Amino acid sequence: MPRLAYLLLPWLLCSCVSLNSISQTQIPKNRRNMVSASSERWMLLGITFDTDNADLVHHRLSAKCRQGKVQGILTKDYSTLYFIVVKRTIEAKGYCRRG
Amino acid sequence: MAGRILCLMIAVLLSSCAQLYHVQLGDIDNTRGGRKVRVMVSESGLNLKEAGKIARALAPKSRADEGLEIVRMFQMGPRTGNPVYNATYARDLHQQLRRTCPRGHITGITAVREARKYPVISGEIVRIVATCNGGG
Repeated sequence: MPRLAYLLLPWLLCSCVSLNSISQTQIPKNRRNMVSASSERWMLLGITFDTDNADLVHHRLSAKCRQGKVQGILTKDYSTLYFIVVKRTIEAKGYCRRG
Repeated sequence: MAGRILCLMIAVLLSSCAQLYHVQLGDIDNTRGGRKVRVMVSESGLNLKEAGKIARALAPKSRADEGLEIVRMFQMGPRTGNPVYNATYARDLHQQLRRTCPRGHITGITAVREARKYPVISGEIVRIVATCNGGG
């Protein structure tokens, strides 16, 4: 029986990923300074009561390029499934241009 | 005991689960500062499958659920969230956003498509948070 449990455990902990949405803004010529930010939310059975992490990722990305412009932003929204728990991640990458 | 269970069930039923469908970030301009602007539109969505289940549970002999099944056949195809009966609810979103910042530069646009889910009905929401730079 414990052998069966050991066999099942890795299977339960392995994660399947599904992509919910993706978007890309216009990419600038100057692509030297890449900045990225992400926001994660763990949800039991996929249940959540707000979507504040969508706003959080914008604040985090903006904070990484003070007094500059972030252009060519790639936004990815994906879910990772761990048995009954879902991790929802919003990831944004862009190019910071100062001056 | 039954009263407590009922209170607990009401609390669970009235709490709204949130569902995020799509998020998109626009280019951010931090060079000029500015103020946050926010625009949101929403419309009531109807989950006919859930309505049918409830109708079947409340009145097993009625044919209300069959009627809902027929309505569902006319709502086939790809969609995001529950169907709404006002197809143009998000049409003026762009104008609303412009009105919040009439003479300024709108930057850092975060567009979110989400829903608040209740039993049978849902609030289908589109919201935009942006920064208005100057002139607004």
